Amino acid sequence: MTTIISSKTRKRIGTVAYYAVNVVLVIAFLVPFLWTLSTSLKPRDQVLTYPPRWIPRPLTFDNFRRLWNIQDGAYRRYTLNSLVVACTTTLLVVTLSTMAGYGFSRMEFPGKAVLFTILLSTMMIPYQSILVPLFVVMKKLGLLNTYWSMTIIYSTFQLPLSTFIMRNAFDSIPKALAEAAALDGSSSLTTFRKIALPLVGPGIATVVVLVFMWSWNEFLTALIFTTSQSLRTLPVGLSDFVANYTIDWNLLCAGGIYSSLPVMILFIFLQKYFVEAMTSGAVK
Amino acid sequence: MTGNASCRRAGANRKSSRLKARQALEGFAFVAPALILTLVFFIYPLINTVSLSFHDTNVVTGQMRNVGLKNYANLLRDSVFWKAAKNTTVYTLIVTPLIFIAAFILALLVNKDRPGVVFFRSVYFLPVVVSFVTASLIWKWMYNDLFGLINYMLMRVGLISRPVVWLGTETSAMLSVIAMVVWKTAGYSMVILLGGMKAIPNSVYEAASIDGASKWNTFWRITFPLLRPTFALALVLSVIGSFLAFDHFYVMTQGGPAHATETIVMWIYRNSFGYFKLGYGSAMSVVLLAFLVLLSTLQLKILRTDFEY
Repeated sequence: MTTIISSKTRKRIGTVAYYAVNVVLVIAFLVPFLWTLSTSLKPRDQVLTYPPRWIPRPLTFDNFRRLWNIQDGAYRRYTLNSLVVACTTTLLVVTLSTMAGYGFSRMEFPGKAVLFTILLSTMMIPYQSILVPLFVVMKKLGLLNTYWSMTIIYSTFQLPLSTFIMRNAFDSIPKALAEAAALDGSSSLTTFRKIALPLVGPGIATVVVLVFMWSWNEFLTALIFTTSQSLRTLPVGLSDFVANYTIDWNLLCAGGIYSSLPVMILFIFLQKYFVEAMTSGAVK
Repeated sequence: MTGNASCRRAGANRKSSRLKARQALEGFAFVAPALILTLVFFIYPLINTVSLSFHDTNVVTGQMRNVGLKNYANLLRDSVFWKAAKNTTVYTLIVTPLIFIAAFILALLVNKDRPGVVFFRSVYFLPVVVSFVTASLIWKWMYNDLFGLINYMLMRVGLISRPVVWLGTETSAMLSVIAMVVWKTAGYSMVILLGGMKAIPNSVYEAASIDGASKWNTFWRITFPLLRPTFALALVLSVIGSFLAFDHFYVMTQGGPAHATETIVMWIYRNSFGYFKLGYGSAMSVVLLAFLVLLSTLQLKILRTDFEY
């Protein structure tokens, strides 16, 4: 009897300890975000106060307004650039990786295994090591300082993993389904569009999340390939702000919150796919 | 009779071979766009990195001159490159075990299904989805010497008596960036480890509990050894990622003070796109690439200890 009670108590203590540890960690993980959010919503004179104040009083969106209008709308321009690059890249990668994934999963052609291996093996090579010659290639093609250079490069870097994800997605569809369609005399393009494509929604969602997040956040390539200010993406613009507005922390924090908002919102609604996207590259 | 049958078979063969050719063509059409992009914008530049590393480029005329191994010889004498290599190695050696330990603790905490666990998991993963630039900005503000939260809190609990200029001295700058990276990436390693933990079938644990194994023993004798391949994977991914570190050092410290936080990729970037020494930048890229491919091969070797449940 006593042992039952003590084991029960021990269990309860364990539960309390479990939640205590998690709550402390959750606070530790969230503090940097909350502190930044708080700073971004404070009036200018309240940032440099000591001791720091957590709740902004009065609460103001003034910093976001300033951000929106600074340098004749430079930030609006960066937002547009980031949106164009991330969206076109996502669109292109989804299209090409779905096609290639289907080809590698469901079609027969000579050299299939070799070509797939070549495509996947580029994942072993960090893109950081080919940026210099890529710069030369883009210069020769006259694509420096265009959206095209960014979209093409980002798409190329994201294609192998996305194709891998899509091939796995198509692999999991029962073969009999496509065969039945083929017997009914539908062409491979129709089978692809009408039978296979509707069944790989989760795969496509994973690719969308992976590519959008990556292109939205990417910094080094954007820094190199957008030498003209009018083509800068948000991360490059933000890093520039950090260097130039060193003491205007309201504005900087507003910039940080603002430029992470799209991925944060996506994350809240599509968490499952984020985890899927981030780990799919790890289980090669 | 037989002639008729063989004739029919030949016809069928011709028909099926034509079908096969058509299928092959269609197959190629499906995979060609992805392959062409990869060929032109990845494999071609990759080969070009090597050839470019034997050349000097003239910034004004854009002309290339073959200089043989000069870039590689320069690399051996470049003290900043070696400092950057040392910094990057030190950074990797410190940050990797820290990320790993943090990730392992987090994974153990959120492995079991309990009320609220989904929320905890999302919070630990949240820093992974923001960019390194944003994360660096956030922490630069946290580390601010006069009005930053970190100095305030440490002084409040009495750990320090005067504000510390975290990003200003050689040792503290590196450690400060490392602390930020652990916060930013532990969630990523956590989900990889969680994947490994989920892959261990319940039957293994059931068998252990029938045999009367204690929780402690189950953890050290079953969970831990069975996770070995996942550990190796998480470790190597983190090592390679750390060797390519750029964004956070660029934003938080600009490589300073006195090149104390200069990383390899940052030095490649400065030489290639700051001083436009494209050949020299390529030579450094080749060295980095060779080193990392070696590491990846090591990864495959470690992972080959795979087993079936």
